Amino acid sequence: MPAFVDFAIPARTLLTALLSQVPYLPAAEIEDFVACWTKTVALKRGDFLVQPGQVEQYLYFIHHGLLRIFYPSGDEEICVGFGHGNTLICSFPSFVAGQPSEYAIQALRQCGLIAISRREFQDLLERSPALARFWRFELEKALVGRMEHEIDLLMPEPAHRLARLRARSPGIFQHVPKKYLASYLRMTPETLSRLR
Amino acid sequence: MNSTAFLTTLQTATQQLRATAQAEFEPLDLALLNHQPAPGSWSILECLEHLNRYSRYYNPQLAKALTKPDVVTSQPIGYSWLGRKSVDMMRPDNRKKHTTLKHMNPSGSRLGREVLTEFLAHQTELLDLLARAHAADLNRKAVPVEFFKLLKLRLGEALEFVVVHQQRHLQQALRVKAGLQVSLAC
Repeated sequence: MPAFVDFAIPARTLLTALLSQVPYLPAAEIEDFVACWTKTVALKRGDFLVQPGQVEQYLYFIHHGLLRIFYPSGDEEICVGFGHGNTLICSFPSFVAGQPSEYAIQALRQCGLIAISRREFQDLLERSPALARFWRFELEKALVGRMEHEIDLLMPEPAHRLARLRARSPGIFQHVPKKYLASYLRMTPETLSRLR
Repeated sequence: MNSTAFLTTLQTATQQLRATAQAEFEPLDLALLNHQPAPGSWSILECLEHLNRYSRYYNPQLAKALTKPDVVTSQPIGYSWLGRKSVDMMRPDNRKKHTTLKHMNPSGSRLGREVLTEFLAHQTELLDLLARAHAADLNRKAVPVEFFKLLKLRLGEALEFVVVHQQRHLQQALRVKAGLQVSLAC
């Protein structure tokens, strides 16, 4: 595995390049926006990005790595989502409401992230209609994703849940360890193995 | 399949490869073209460089094989065991992963836009070779295999191998491109 010694600059370059593909975002606004991503976080496998009880102060952009978002419930950790390269990630309810997070976000592999503070992000959205439009579009996509996943969970047959996820994100099976996918689909790892 | 239909299929496929690569990759920023979707997994330029390395070997070999004059019209296409195997292994609909030979693996190299330019030039060359192949005996064993030169592929097999191998990795590069957008995990 290549060691990403200093990924902060490549991560900002990548974020800039990704945003430059959005036709309505002016280059100058992208530059101002990306310049605010000043915090750098490097995680080893198993490290936590967010612990339950913490108030989310940042929005993160994953340069490389894989993280899971989970809800601790008794001795179970219910997996509700994953973040990989090119993903923005935060403990969302805490990020929007400023309340302590009920969720945890943990690195499943070595990860490199850059972050913008919640305060600065919100200020920028107020100032830039183009950025606000971009954010609204991201929220819409995320909401559709959450609804898709809700339907997954309402399917009585584990095979149907799996088939839906496979159709929606074929790549996920190559990157995410099986036990977390099983938790995400509310089935035991044994059931998942049998179905695949 | 007879040789005329066979070559026409390969010519159409090659034209599509060239058009797709140009339309999909030319507009992308260099940072995106070089972006590895996961550590060790190829960027768009690495996919194309891998194909360039094959073309640098096979295009001249095919050209050499085509200099020998044959007098043929249309003929049925036959396969040797090795040829059938090589082509089936590389078809894009064959999901099985194969290990790349070390000298064909560009992973970790620093690549520039010239990789894309070279790829497009190779397609133009290949189209020229395919046009010339209409006058050749495609069942003649004429093209030494890159990694084991004592083995030879038939001319038709070698042409098909080059095309399906390119289709395979172009699809891979298109999947990488599809992942080149921000999304929000929450």
